[in-house]
Amino acid sequence: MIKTAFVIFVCKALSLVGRLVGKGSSLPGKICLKLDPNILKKIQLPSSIIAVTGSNGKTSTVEMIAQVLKNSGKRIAYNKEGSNQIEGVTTFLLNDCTLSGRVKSEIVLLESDERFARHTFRHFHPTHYVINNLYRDQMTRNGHTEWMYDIVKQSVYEDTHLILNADDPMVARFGMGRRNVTWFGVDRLPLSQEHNDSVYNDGAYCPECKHPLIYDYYHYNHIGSYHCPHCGLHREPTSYTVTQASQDEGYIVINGQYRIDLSFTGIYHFYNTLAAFSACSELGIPAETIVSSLQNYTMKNGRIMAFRAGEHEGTLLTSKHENSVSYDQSIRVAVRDPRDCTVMIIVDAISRKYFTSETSWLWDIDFELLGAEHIRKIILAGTYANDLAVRFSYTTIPFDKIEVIEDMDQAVEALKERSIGYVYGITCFSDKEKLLSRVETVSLEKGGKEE
Amino acid sequence: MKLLHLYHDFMNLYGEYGNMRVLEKHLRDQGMNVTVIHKTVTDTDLDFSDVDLIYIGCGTERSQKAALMHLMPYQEEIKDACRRGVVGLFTGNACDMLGTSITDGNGELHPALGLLPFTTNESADIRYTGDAVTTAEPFGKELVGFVNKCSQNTGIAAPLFTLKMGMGNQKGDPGEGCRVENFFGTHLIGPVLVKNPAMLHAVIRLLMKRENPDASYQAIAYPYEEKAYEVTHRALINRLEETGNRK
Repeated sequence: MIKTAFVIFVCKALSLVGRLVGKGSSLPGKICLKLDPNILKKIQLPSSIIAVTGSNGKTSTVEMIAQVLKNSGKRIAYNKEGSNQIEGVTTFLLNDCTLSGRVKSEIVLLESDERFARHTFRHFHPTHYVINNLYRDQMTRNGHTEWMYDIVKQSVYEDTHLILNADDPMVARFGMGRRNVTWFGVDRLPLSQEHNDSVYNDGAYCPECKHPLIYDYYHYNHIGSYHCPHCGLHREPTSYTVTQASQDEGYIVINGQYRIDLSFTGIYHFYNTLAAFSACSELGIPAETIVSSLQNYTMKNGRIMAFRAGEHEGTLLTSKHENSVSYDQSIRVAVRDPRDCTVMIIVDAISRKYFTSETSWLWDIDFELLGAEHIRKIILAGTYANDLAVRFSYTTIPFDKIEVIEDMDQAVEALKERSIGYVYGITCFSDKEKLLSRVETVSLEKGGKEE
Repeated sequence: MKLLHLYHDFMNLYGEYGNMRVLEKHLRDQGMNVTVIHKTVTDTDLDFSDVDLIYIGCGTERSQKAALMHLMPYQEEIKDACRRGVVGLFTGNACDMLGTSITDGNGELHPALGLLPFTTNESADIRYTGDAVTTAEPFGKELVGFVNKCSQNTGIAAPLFTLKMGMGNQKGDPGEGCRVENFFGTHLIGPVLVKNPAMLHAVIRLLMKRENPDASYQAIAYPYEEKAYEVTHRALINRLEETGNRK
């Protein structure tokens, strides 16, 4: 039998070599799992292991929780984006171990991929598990939200304390019949709606029993306050609640007393912030510390970037292809901006991780909103610009404000020369460099040029 | 002309409503008078007696069973519509509803419409997903699309398509989809008619002929729709050649 200390040593040594040659973080873990498939069961984990999953907002939520915990003086170990599969988790946990097999950090914080959490948590169970939402996301790999529910369910154990978004009926199912659940949610706000005005409504029918679900109000898509008269699934009373908020002024108030000013608005960001607040509170961090840590917190994950295209200032709103909710949210940012705007949408490589030519997801996006008067020009760009153009031809947006350009050089040229007003770039990680590499990027925090 | 879109809010997992949007628009462009009727699981007044087209899109496995349970009382009316030459379009896992039964991932058997003598078995944990390309039969052009399913069919004697790329009706079988009279079933998901002008035009011609045997189809250019198809077809054929070469 191979000694645990040896496996830990191998991991640290390989990681050191990996860092020197610039290789990724999953290989050391992969080799260690070969050496001892049960290595994660043998190491001594700290008393708090927080996992965060959901279709959208994992990285932001984890980043905010990490910020709060660091400010509280806690020693934490957490996985950065891209290493959320079992191999990456193994690498970062073993690297944080003493050779005697004890994880040195007080708290382990894990961003967990919805599909891989079930494999990781076979080795150890998180003490706290935050599940923020289940949306239509990367369905070419994920199938659909109910399929994902069944997969995520395999990572949910009885001894884990769940921290769940009460406003998402798909997520609420994880808490049915359980006691060890903390619920968070957003109360009815001025921005709440009586009707679901998204292109599709995954909340129309109860995910549990398939009878019509009744909503008191929607925040967006299937997120809101609901109950099922047939099986009884309902929005649970929440322990952590956004009781007041303003998108224009950019703040939320939690539980009627904790105001947090947000650098980025949008209701999805309310939920990420609330999820982070809830998780940290459950770990016993004082509310004041959480509030001061998250006050005007600017994400470091580069999802929102400033740039200059010719004469025009602009913002890149990184969305996710194959994820209509992320597009809807980005579109809403542009639509809420009262200035004259140009919006560029790029669909060139649908995924950065695998090949697909699938564009059905464009039909789930509420492009109609871009018909707003102050959106003066729309540029549809990239290999799949024609698919975008077809989708737009089934909205009421007049084509005289739309340009369709497959070639990225020409598209960015058009952006520089023919934009009207402020520019919003909306695209995925897989395609954002196709815009950023052709324009001047600007630091968001200082307003100066990025080095 | 009456188009019946069944379970529009229930079996609409991958933007399937786009199929009805494109049909409606193109039929109107041909000068047809079109009414789209939406009926769903809460409706009890389904009427197939005077519709020209029935469409059902893709849903989750559980939604599909709920839709099927709702539709079974109309089994004879649907068979009758099929015999009368009504056009039917069943995309994604709605295709599986045309067989005699569906056995779900838990082993439970659900009776299906029985328009064709095939059976369907679903898996609880294996999903077949991937881009797909058909050969040029029967619509004169190779079709493109995406398969996203957990089912396999047994007993489809005459598939609708033969696949050059992608998972067919069952493992090792390049046959995809099924056909009986003017009812077309395909596992391709999403707005297949939007992405495949050749299939759209075939369906439109059938519908126009039903309305008026002398109706003539006018060629109208939809450049973005044509180009979107060509770009995807080229991307998939390139992919096919690359992976073929690797083998």
